[in-house]
Amino acid sequence: MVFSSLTFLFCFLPITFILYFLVRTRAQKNLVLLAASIFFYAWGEPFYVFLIVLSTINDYVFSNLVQSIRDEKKWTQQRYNKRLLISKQCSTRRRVLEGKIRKQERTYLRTKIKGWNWEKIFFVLSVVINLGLLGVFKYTDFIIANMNTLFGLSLKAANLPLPIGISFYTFQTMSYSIDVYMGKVKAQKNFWTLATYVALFPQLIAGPIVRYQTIEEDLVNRHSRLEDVAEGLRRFLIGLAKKVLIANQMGLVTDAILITKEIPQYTVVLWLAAITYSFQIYFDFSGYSDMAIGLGRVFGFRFLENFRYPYMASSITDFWRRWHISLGSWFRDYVYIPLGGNQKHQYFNIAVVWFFTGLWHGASWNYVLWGSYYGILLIMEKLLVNKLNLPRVIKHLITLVAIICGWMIFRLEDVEDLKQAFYYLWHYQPISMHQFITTYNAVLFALPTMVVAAVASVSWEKLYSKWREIKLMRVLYDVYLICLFISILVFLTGSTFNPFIYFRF
Amino acid sequence: MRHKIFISILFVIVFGTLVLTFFSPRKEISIRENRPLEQFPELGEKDIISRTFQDQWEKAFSDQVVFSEEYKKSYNDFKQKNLTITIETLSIWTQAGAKEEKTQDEVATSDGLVPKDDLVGGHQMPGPIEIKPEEEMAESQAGGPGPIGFEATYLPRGENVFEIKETGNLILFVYEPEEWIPVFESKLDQIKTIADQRAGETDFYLYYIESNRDIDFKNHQITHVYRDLLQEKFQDIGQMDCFSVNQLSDFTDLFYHTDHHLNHIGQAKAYQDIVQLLLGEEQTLPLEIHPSKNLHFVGSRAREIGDFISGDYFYVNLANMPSYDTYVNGEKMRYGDLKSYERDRIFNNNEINHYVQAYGEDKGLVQYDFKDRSKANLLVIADSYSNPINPLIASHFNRTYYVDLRHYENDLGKPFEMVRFIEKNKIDKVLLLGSAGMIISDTFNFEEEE
Repeated sequence: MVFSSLTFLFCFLPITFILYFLVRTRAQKNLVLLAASIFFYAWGEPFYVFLIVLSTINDYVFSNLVQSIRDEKKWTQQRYNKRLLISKQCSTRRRVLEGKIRKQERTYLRTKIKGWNWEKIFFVLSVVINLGLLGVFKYTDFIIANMNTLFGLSLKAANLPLPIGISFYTFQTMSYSIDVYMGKVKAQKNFWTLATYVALFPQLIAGPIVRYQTIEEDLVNRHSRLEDVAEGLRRFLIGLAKKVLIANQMGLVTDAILITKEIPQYTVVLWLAAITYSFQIYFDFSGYSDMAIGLGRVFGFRFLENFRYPYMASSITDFWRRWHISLGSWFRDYVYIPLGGNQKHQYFNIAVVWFFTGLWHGASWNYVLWGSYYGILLIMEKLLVNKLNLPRVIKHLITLVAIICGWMIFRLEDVEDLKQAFYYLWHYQPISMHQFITTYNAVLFALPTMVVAAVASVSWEKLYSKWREIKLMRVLYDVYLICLFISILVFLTGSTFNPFIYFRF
Repeated sequence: MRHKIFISILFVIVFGTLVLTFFSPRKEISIRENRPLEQFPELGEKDIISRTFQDQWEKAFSDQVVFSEEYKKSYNDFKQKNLTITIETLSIWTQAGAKEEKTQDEVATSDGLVPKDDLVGGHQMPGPIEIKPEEEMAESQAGGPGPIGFEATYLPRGENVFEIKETGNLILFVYEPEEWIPVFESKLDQIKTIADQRAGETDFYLYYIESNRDIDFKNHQITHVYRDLLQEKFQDIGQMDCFSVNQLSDFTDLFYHTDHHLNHIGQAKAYQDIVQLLLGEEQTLPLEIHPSKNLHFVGSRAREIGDFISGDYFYVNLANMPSYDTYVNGEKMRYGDLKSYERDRIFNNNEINHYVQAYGEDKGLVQYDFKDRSKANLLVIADSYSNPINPLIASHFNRTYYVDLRHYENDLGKPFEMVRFIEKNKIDKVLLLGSAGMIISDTFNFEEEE
């Protein structure tokens, strides 16, 4: 199920909302959310629900094993220290105590056979299973295709459908297992609570990647105040409007222009597609994150921000601090820093992180290229930083062009298409207005939305915070949101207008 | 307080919609969209796993949700307004770019663009045009300027729909001969196979209507590529005539402005041509034009873009005919409702498709029986272009069978087998009557399964 569907808006959400606020205890509320989340996922992916369950069991079992070993170790160490202290006071008791300590140590050693670090083994197993699921379902065909090309084999593609949201929930559960292993959080003893975290429907399908430590407290102790519900719904509506009113319209233009194997050879048209796609992907993704954050707040969770006006960035580094923040910080904390971060082999670390960032986005070389493109840009930026003192406007423009070009790499999976698109993006080839209008007539109506998109890409926070202090403006803002909701309904229903010209006449 | 009010309003909208949607009677059909509306599916385990249940549910929700028609109308209005803004902006840019070299008019003509105040979406109501005598009509057809002659200003109005600014006709840019010529050739081969089987017993005729699909609007010309191909190939099968469109005025005068069908003038001409093709010198019935008072006919092209403001006047051709019986899919019943139009007893509602109402829905098999055994029996393979002239043509025959291959199998529960049909109904003449759209459709297929 997607948020921008009538079924979600008019059936799923209100029913979940009522059930959630009808039950009283936190455990019951978690169960309602879990059941709703499973239903939400199963609506779009009925068969692959088992993968989420499997992933949750994997993380639950192994993280608890890691935790129990650690607790045991810690407990033994504490007891040992304590008794050593006591034994120093009385030499006669030492022998008795030493016997008891040895017994406790034997218990601990049972889990550490012949020097094996079971803590690490359990952790590695959980990561391998998580990555294995992701690898099998997302990358099998990619690997097969590359093996066929490299070694001249003719292996058949597995054609496994990609389970919705697998990249998101796998990274989410991995972050939990890693954090438990690193000792940042304690393993969750209650399976249902962990399952609620993994399957929580607001962020299940398209993020943000919510780390366990972010909502650990909320899972067991949260309150949904009236203000939270209202603010959450406001945020949800803003996200929904971004998706339905802007991203979908921009998508129509992009899809009409960037047709696989039929990439146009007109510079203006290609730039138009690149810009509309840049808007589409931003408003689609940030809209989804807004909806997730808003819904989370309705149910008492505080998710971290995932976007901060990325197209206002004045450098690529700045852009990645504003774009998909949860993924960027995931790679920073779990890949970049463990590799050595800024301290050791920095450029190599950047290259590795961006290679995998690209691969995470999709099983195709264009995503790897896209990731590597950013890796190169970031390295170049680090090398040139402080050496070029350009005006801010110029920096901003260069960044924007680099980002837009990056999105073309991201959008075009076919290498030939990509080559052609880049050639004509930079080699001017004109199109007559007549040809433009006749070719793209079906999407001309969506072009004015670009102005709305451009305005909405810029931060109006300062202005809004001033307005917020005026009561009338707050009321007007709510009226505006209600109007947005009606417009969303018009767009959602209206876009299904499908006259059947040849039906019975 | 503010939060409470905000939540309450949302609550009312959401639950109001939910309750009204599920507790209102189900909507069966959309007249505006001319299609049956999707219905909520029944729960089935397999359908859930394959996700067909979920997809169907979402489609049904969009169709059944309360105010869905109003939402769709608003969305179409929004599209039209935005389209106007785009064209205005592009026009300004074009004019600014061409200011030094060209006048505004020149820019408009060469680029198919117009000054901003020229984008119109209002009523297009062609007044009544008298049916010209046949010679005069032929003269007008022959006098066209040849391959070029479709220079006009084409304004985008929606998904592949353009408006000829000078006349208000709504058209499609669908000239694709590379794609369709092989299809034409294969269909002609099929007909030839059947004609060969019936050689000497049944005569075959083709009346081809050049329409939107034949005109290369993008390059302002008609190449007659399909007509020429048919003329070349059909001479081995039987006789052929063509409803030719040689210049823009032929198209704008003989077709509805908002619909893809022939208007009353085009219908009359087609009727005269067909009788001449089938029966040589036989006199056609005199036709009387009846202007249906104040009727606003919103045709298929206007419906396609959700424009229920543009429209045509609706005129019907009336004739004194001997009495006859009509059978629809084998059952004796009335077909069409021309009488009501003659008596001006039609409710003027923009959503009514008067073409369907007056001339009848497309059906797999419509039979006219004029009970005159001295005359021949005719089989017509046709699409909706023939509906207005069905009884007129049939009046020249004993029994006339109109087969619409798009619906035949569905309506009669069996595929159409032409040879068997000809033998069973003692058909003397077979007429293929339609436009390129009929010939290229998948259902226009005479390959019988072994």
